[in-house]
This record gives sequence, C-alpha cells and structure tokens, in this order.
Amino acid sequence: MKPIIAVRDLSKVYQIGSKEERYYSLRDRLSSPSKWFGSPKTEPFYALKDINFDIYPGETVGIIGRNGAGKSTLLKILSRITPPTTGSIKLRGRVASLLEVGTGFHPELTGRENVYFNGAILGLKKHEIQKKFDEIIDFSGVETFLDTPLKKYSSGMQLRLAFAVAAHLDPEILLVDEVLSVGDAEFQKKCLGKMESVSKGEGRTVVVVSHDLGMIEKITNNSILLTGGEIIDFKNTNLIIKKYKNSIINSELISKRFGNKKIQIIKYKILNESNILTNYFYMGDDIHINFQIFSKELNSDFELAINFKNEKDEIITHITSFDSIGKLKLIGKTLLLN
Amino acid sequence: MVSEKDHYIEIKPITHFSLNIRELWQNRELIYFFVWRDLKVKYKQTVIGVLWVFIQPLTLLAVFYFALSKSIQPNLHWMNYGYFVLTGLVLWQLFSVSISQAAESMVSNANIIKKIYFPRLVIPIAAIGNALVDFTIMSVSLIIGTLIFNNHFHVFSFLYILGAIILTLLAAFGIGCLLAAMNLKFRDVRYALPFLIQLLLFSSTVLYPLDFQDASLNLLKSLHPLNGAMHLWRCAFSNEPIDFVTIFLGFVNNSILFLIGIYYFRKTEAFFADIA
Repeated sequence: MKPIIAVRDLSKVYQIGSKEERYYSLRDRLSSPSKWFGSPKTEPFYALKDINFDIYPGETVGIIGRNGAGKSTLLKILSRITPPTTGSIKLRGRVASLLEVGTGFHPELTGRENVYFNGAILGLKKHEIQKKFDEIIDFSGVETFLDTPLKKYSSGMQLRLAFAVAAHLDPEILLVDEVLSVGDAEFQKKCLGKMESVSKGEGRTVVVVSHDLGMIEKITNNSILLTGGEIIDFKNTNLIIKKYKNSIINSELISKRFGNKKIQIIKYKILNESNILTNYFYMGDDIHINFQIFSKELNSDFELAINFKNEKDEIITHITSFDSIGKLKLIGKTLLLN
Repeated sequence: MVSEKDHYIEIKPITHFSLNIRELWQNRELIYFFVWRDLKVKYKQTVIGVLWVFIQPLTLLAVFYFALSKSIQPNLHWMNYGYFVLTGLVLWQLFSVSISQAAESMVSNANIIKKIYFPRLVIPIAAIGNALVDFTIMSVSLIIGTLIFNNHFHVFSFLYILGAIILTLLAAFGIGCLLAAMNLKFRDVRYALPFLIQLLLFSSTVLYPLDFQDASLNLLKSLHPLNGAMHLWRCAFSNEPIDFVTIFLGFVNNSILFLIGIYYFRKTEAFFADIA
C-alpha cells in the first residue's frame, strides 16, 4: 500500500530577527541607515529539521511535543499554508485542515450564511454544502437561530456551528490542530465521537496535534514525538505518551534572576513520589520540588518561597519555608563554596 | 468517484514563478463566495443600503459642478460639464474602489490566510469583483439615463464601454495586487493609500479634460493608468473622435502594471502566512 502522506527530508527555516523584526515598516528602515540596503540581519531558526515519515490510509496519527517543538509548523506545511524550506511531501488525497474552528466566521452574517462561507473556504463546493446543510444544522443544534446574526450567538453556539461544518468535511486526509480544547465537555465528546467515526468507520486518515494527551490516547493508534523540530520517535501512542512524559526536562537552569546574588538557585527539579522527573500529577499526588542552591557564605540563613500561578500569570497561592501553614520542608541544604 | 490522480499533491519549496491559472479556475466558486460575503456584510445594518452606491458620486458631482463648471465648460467641446464629470466619476469609482479594496483585502483577511490554504489571488480578485458589482449598478443607471435624456449612443458605444472597463480593470488589478502584497509586509501602504487615490484623481481626466491642464506635462499625464480608459469611456457617451494613440498607450501602460502587480503578488504569496 502506498502511503497517503509521505514526508521526505522536510525542513523549515525561519529567519529570526535579532530583536525588532516582528513588524516591518518603512520608518524602521529609514530611521537606521544600516538597514537601507539588503534585508535586516537575521539568524536562521530551524522550526523543523529533516523530518521523514509515512502515514498510510485509514491511520489516525497524533503529533505530540512541547510548545515550540514544531507541531503546528508541521501541520501548516502539510496544509500548504506555508511552504517548506527543503524537502517534499506527497499527499494522495483531498486534504482538509482544521487549524482553527470557525475560520472566516463573520459576526454580521447569519448562522446560515456563515455555514455557507465557512464551508466554502474549507473546500466544500456549493452543492455539497446544500446537500449536507440539514445534517450540519442538526449536528450543531442551533436551528432556531439560523437566521440570526452570528454576533448574537453565545460563544458556545458559535463553536458548535463551526465544528458542525468542520465535522462534515469529506476529505481523505483531515489535519486537526488543537481545536477541541475549547467548548463544553458534552459537545467535546460528541466531536470526538464524530472524529473517531471519521477515522475508523470511514477509512479516513487523520493527523491530530494536541496537548490533550488523553484525547490523543483515545483516538490515535500511533503518534509522532517531536522535540526541537526533530522527530524523536514514531510508534504506538501509549509508548510515545510514556516517553513524552518522561522526556520532559523540568530540571532547568534559571536565567532570569534578580537580587544581590549572595544566594542563588542553580537548578530545580520536579519529581513525583517515586523520585521520577515528571510534569504530570494526578489529584492527591505529592509533588516534590528539588532545588540546588548556591551560597557565597557558609551557613547562611535563608528562606525559600514558591508562588503558584495560573496561565494568566496571576498568583493563586504561595508557600514559604518560613510559613508554618505551608507544607514546604527544607530537607537538607546543598551548600557550595566558591 | 474521483480518481486518486485528481488529488495528488506534492508540496515542495518554492523555486520558480508560476501563475497557476488552473488552480484559480478550480476555485472560482470560492471567488463567488468571497464577493457574496463582502456584499452581504457591506450593507448589513444600513438603512438605505445599496443607495449608498449613488451618494458618493452624486455628491462629488454637485461639488465639482458648482466649483468648476464655469471655468471648464469653454474647453469642453463634446459634452456638458455636468455630464462630463458624471461619466468620469462612474468609471473613477470602479478604478479607485477596486484599488483600495484590493489593497486592503489581504490584510483584512489575514486570519483566514493564516489558517486555510487556497490560491491567494482569490482574495484581491473577489475585492475587485465586489467593486464591479457596485459599478454595474451605477453604469447601468448611467446608460439608462443617457438613453432617456441625452442619447449620444452610437454603433460603437458598447464596444468602447467594454474596452474602457477592461483597460481600467487591468490597471486596478495590477496596482491592487501590488499594494495588497506590500501591505502585508509594510503597513505603511494603509496610510499612503488615501493619498495615492487622491493623487490619482486629481492627476486624471475625471474632473477636467487633458487640454485644460498644463500642456508641458502631457507626456507624463499620458502615463496615467486611467487616461486611456477614460478617453474610450467618454467616446462611448459622446461624439468625441477616438484617439488611438491614447488608447494604445493606455493599453501598454496598464498591461505593464497588471504584469508587475501579478508577478509581485505571486512571488511573495507563499510567505503571506508567515508575515501576515
């Protein structure tokens, strides 16, 4: 059997500017004469490096990796949004990519109009949309608001409608990026069910990128593990997820510091009860955080505090070694002399 | 049932320039959907809706008629000044709206470009298609009005009209695509655009005939992308004799603009998603 997706020696290089290159404007160029000629100074950054893999018809494959591992870049190249720098991909089938649900949704248009426009940019022909229209609306469950402008929909309703269109695409290859992380649990389940029936029941090929390891585990057989733009492994999803969880390096050097440097945290590690490095904890687990501390003075007295922040960088709680309430215990001091 | 061959795609680095008209043709329905969406959105929540098409040219007509009629009429041999400005503004509207909508089109659809692949030319083409819809409404009204009140139409009128539209679109498409692609990289385009449009208006023959302007600049003025088209257009609405040199210059000129625009667009489009 020929692979439906064949990726060969694929690399993607971005030219990353030293600092300011996010926005180009004529003024930037004019204000510094060194930039008048030639392109601004940049460094190559390999978002993907020598990627090779084959996916066969009917497979559902997950792509796993940390932020910046190149997952989304790979998906963008597969869906032809951005070209590769070197290498090639052969795709043997109609491709639909869902990098976002509801791309092109317009708040002023009605639900009905949005279904048509969204369907069209996702690659459906007009007659295909007409044929599937009732089914799409049924799936979304918003039939009463069909002729209401989208801006009056709740965000949940918008999402249902968007996913309903996406779920009714008819490609041989479906590329999905982190789209299910939004929306209520019940609807997520429905979408997962639909995706599973797409891949298993109808013999379609699905490539999914997600941080939701549970979902990847549920719907895929094999997965690709990406790290720093390179493929580390491509095999059974259960094994890949194990490997991923263990490979996560959470023991890192700290680069951002402030203070008088009399005492410094050199390294930290996050471990589970059995002293294994991990970033995954279940309810009720003990979290062990190991600090390596450097002090200039022997026997210096210090206090350690840890802040817990949410994804918005807001502090939820904190514990200190001084606090009797917290459960932070200092087990031995690693003191190093300079 | 579609065969496997129909959907075989090879993704490779961009190495050479290609127009890929075939792919564009396969996506013609998408062009329609973009035009359709923009038309729908444009007049949502407006009270007078499509009447807005007429308001801008008619207001400009009134302003220029009262300001310039007395001084320009003696230089006009084939038309009444009011009619001269009215016909001029109708074609001008097609030209200017096409350019400004095309120039903004890529930036305003950046979220779509970053998430879905389709031939990027669909977007500026649809923007111009949208301007063409408004123009059709205006020009049909103008033609009907002409037939009723002031019948200057002759055997070649409709041929001239068609020619004028093609010439206008050639230039508008070229300039529009060039600006649309540049706009993604240099947002300065957005600020330069209104100024550019004004400059194009006042240097054109929309408001005053060529011989009313300083003759020393005639060569430069013959390079104006709207001059050839405007001459042909006015010939359709009057008995003015046709000047083939002007038309030919306009055609060459606008074809060059068209090619430059489409070349720059196609050459940069692969990286639109990275810079948008």
